[in-house]
Amino acid sequence: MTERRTRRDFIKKSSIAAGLFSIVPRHVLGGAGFIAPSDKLTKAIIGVGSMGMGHFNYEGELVAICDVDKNHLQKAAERAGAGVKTFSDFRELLQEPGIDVVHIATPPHWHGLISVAAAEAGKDIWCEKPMTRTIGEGLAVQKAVERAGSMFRLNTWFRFTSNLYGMGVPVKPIKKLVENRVFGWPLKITLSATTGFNWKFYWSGRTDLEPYPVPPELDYDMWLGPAPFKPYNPDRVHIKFRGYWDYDGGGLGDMGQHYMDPAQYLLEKDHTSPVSVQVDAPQQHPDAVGTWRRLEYTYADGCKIVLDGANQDKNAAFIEGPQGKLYKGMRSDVNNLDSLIASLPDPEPQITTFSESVKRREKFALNEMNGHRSCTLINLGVTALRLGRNLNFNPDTQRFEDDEAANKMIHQPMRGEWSI
Amino acid sequence: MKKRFFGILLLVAILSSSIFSQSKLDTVLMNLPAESTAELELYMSQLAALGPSAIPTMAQQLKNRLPGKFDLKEHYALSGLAKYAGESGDEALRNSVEEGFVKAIDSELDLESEVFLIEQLRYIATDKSLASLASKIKSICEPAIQTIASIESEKALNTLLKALEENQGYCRLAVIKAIGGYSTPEAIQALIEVSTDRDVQIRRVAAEILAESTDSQAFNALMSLAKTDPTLGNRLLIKNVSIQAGEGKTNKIQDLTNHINATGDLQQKTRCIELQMMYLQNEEQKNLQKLFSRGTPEEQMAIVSALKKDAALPLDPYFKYFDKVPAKIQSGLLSASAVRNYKPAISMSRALLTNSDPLLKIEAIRTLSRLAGSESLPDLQKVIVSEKDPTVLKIAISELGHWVGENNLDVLPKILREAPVENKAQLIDLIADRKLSDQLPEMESYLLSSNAEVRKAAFNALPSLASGATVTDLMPFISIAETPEELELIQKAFSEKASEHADVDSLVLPLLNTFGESSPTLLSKILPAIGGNSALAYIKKQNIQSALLDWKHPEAIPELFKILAANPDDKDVFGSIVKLINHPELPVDQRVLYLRKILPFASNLEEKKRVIQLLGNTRSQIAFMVLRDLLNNDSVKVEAARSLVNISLPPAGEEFGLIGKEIKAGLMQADTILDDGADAYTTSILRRYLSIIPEEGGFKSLFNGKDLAGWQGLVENPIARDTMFAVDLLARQIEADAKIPQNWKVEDGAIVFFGEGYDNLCTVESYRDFELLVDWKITKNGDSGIYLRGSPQVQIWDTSMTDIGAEVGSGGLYNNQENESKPLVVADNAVGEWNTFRIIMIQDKVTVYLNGTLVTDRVTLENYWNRELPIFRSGPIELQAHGTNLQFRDIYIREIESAPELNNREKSEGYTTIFNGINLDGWVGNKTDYIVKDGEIVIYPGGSGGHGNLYTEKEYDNFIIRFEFKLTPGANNGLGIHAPLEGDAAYVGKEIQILDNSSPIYANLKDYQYHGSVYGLVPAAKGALKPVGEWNSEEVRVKGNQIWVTVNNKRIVFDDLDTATRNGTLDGKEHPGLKRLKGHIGFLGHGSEVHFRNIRIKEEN
Repeated sequence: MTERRTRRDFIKKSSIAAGLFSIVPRHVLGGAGFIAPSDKLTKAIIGVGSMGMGHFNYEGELVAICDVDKNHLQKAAERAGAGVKTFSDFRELLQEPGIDVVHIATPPHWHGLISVAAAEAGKDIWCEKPMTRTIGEGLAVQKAVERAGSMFRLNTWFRFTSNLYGMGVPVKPIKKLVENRVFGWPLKITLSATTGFNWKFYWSGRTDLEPYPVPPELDYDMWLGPAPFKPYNPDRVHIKFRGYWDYDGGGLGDMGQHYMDPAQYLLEKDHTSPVSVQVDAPQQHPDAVGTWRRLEYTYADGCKIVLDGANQDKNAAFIEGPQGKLYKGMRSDVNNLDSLIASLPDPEPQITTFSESVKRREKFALNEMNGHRSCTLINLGVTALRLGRNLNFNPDTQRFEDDEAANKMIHQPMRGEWSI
Repeated sequence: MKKRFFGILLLVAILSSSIFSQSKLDTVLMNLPAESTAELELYMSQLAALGPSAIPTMAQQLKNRLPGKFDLKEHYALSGLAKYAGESGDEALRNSVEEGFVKAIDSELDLESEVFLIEQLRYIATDKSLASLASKIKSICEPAIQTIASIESEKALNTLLKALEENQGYCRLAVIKAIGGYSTPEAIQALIEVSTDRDVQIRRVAAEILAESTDSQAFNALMSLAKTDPTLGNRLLIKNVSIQAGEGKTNKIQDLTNHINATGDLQQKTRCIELQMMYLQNEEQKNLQKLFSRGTPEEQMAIVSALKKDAALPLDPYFKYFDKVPAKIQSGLLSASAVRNYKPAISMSRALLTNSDPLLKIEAIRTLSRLAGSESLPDLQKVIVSEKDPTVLKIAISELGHWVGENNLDVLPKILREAPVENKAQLIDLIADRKLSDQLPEMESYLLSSNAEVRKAAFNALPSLASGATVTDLMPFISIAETPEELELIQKAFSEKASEHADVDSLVLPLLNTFGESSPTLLSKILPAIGGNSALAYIKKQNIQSALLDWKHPEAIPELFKILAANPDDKDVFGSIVKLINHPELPVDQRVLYLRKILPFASNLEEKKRVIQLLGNTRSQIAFMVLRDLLNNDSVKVEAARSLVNISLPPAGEEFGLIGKEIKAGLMQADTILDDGADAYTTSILRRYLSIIPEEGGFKSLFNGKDLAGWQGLVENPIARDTMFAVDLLARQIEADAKIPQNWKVEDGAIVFFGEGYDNLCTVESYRDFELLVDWKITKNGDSGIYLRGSPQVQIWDTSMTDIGAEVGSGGLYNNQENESKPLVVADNAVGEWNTFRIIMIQDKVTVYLNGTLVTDRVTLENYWNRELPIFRSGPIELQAHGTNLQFRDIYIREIESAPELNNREKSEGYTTIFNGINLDGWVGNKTDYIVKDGEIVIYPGGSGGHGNLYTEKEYDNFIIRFEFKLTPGANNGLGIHAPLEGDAAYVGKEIQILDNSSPIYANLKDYQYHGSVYGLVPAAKGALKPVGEWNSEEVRVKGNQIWVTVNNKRIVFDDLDTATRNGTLDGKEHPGLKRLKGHIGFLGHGSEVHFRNIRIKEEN
């Protein structure tokens, strides 16, 4: 069968790559913790497709790029200009001295592996959302980053800058209201079209992907990496990968952390996870991501995050508490909200520039700890969706209660040489 | 509880027959994929009940799929079933499903299907699957190994160890990783052996796994690896020792340090210092303290890094050397003290506030603020009034913001006064953030400041501070503004003020009274930001064109169009109009009218694209058709195609956007224009939508733009026509049609009335309930209307005809006498301009939007031809002729299905509706208390106090009924099943309770009385109901004596009445109805108002 022949090709290619890898000498100069505050940080970008190109604009001097698609790599190299090294295997890139920060803009099934490898290579990490594809990979990243003492930032920002979807203001004034218990406690946060957080359902995948020949510019084996082998089809890769569970989780994976991370911050849940997730959705396909109507997360103290994907509750408030509600566009049943906000002190300051975090060796506002927790919200949702049932979760052990199948999704097997 | 029940079912199934029913399997498969989690659970329980042999049968069907495709019902069934059985608790169920999967894997299948099955088996595999899985290692190694690994048993390990011996290459990698999941000595031993394998990849994978082991042999193996391959080995050694240390095994740290000191790089060395710091005790700690006092900066930094991480490390011994270490390390110590909440650092920080090193100073400010809290306020204040470095100042002010709240806001103006001028700007920002509006008068001096930063900050602060001031206070600031940016901020301050007034004119008129004569120039700068008709009239009178161009509100658009008409090439005017068209207050229909009007003025490609782009933001049928025409224009077709797609796609949370044949055709054309590269995302979602877009429904065009096909002349009125003989009517119709050309013609894509009589133009078709779009334009003293169902009329007239009351505007139901006949507001565009009507007629109610503004809101249209009668149920649309020149264009109609509709899925599954939405045909019983209203069955507590019952004419035995219901507070009703027409259905049949059990009057309910309970027999799970007043969906499935009740997609009852009543009924009463397995379905009134709608049923065998 074609499938097996292709696999043998994979082995051959991988062995060559590994051989190269072991004879590249390693020079590590300086490393974490030794950058003078006035120094300019250098960065490398792994994955220079549509998302990675955006990372050109972030802080730091670009010195290296990496992609498994030669066309992407070439386009990016043209934009980067002379002097920027190009790689097709991220492991070789990580051997490069003189890279302070590694940007990971690959599809999510690579985020965990590359983050761990980058941490072990002594790099600091700027990773795209969603942080990891499984809860287990998130824990592995946490451990590796902690062990190596790397600095980690996740690439979403609504907990510290930019106007929050639907609200027209950044999270800061809302945080002031919440932490001063203006709406009371516990709170329910609803993320839906009504509250300004539209869920994209176009990331649904297809179930009828006939095999296509792999285009010559793409190293499909490396693109798949730890993901199970499935025959190539252009719908699986590049901008369309979000529609398949092997790589991401549809609109929930794409937008979930943008939307839920600020919610987690507002609800003061950066160190914990919900105790249950309830799901209302059609049965999900084993490979292709489908749509869903509603996900409801409940924390031990009664706080809730509701993802109203079908926008069923047309009167939903963004934040609802026993003493008041805050609607889209900062409308509220609390009187004189504006002057109330102005009179409240600012919330705890956060480190919101990654270079500052890197130089001071202090955690970025959104890091591997709270980032893992907000990514766990996505992965709880994904698990409940894929199993088609409500789940109970223990936020301390980070395992599901009384559900063996759910627990099998915490760690998922990786293909070939990849493991975490 | 439910699982136990399924277990029993399952056992029964397995014992009673080893052959499952193919027809039952087919029935379940037909339902997949399940629509909800409740359905999924139901179908999977049904599948499980068929026993293990159904699984290989389904697996055989997988052969029928094409390579790469996973689109069969069986894929959903098998994947769902494994996951269903993987929930803890029911061994019998899991066993049975596993048995089935094993059988399936053992049968003849293609490779891809085997992989699929083995991947599903991972959720439930035990030792019983081992033999089959082991037999697959040769052909499909990796998935089989991974599933074996998921078993996590000793036997599984043995299988893996055997596989390690027997397999090579790629497969071996998978086996090694699987063995890595075990920490037994055998597993470690095996990994150590392969860590010296000839294949470098295998060696590396084994070593990576060993690095995570706390077994001392693993460390030794890595140490020997490090000797041959230091790059890989050193990294893994550090990882291994870190992991061991984390678990309390610290004895290898010293060995590691010695090794790394000899062979490692700087980074690795510092890692070792960190490890020593965090895990070594007493003596070694003292050595580290010594190292800190005299080590290299790198070593010192590693120590600081550990101090930050490990809360157990003492800080005193290190702070002892604070004065001796370099500034960078001092700064690190301070940040560690802030993280560790180490209070002695307060005094050190305080001392450093005047240090010359800005970075150290910043760290000191932060540390002080965090450790001393609000007590750091005086220190921060001192820094702010004296600091020269802007970065340091910024940090100090940001920390200040953390300690300034409602109790001490007054400290800010004080600091502002004391601060040197170059420090004021950032403070003004904070004051603006805190909206200290009483500081507005203070701003005047800062607005005039020679320091550019301060001046800028003061202007920036104006909008935030404006709310406490009066407009008169703000007026003097206008002349201070020098740059356009400054003026804009002043304008913003005024528009902030304006937003506090419900009626803008009440703000503008006093301004005009005071400054209108003296200061038109000043006013012209701010009125555009405030807007309103009085302001516009003033500017028109003053003839200040620059102000019009700067206008921020849409009321200026008609005026600007006049200017544009006179100067068609004026780019500024064009730009101003386009900007205003994008104003969010402008309703979509009006926006489309303006965009169509401005499109011909777009003289270059950029302008055209901009207009097309804006059309793409209007979810409008008419905009769609305009864009569709542009697809044939080569220079803008790509832009038009993008906009077309944007308009048509479903809004978030909805299944469909624009639908219908014409939409689909337009989108298909767009698809051919859009490029897969540049528009890949757009085309991917477009194609997805094209695959589901229905051709039925949506808007249909009533006018083709070329001739009057589909239209005919007017004969009498509907009542008169009804009484005519067919032949007479035909003759009269021919006569009327022949007269059309005397009055009506088609010109430039519009229907034009140019005649003198009163001969309406009528659609040939009749329409019942619909949404009608029509554009119209009248001339001076014009008067017309749109007839609905052959009856007058939605009024159109020139609002200047005040003698006949036309000043109320168009869009009213002119001929109404009992009901409202005037529109809610005037929304007409000027005579000679196009207007858009959006008319919605459902039952006898008419809603009209004129240019996007609601002017008639669900008003009953009276029957003009016979006021005794309600309006006809259907009839033609007519364009009224009234003796003046009129034009109509873009006429579209969307018919609205009145009776509740089945969705496609329900249709294919055999559901039918049993309530037509109009009357109670098909129902028997109390038809006085139960009435039909707005498509709902409503029971009002009327004559019999709402106690009557309403039954289906037909009797049903096994069925699924679905309906929606809405409760009123305390409402009580019930769904009778298997009921005779006489007697108390709860006993002589069965009653599924319908009850607002949230009401306090039901505080003492028995479990079997809650909503959804089979009354007196089976209790329902609670909490599925939505709040009173919202619609709930309910499904009741009855099969013999089994009953399922699902409310809002949550299953609340599933039980077998035989089992449930084996030991007697819950309410202790006789229920003869238990023996009745057929009867009427009915609503059982208990004296309260309840609404029902959308009732459909499927009969089952």
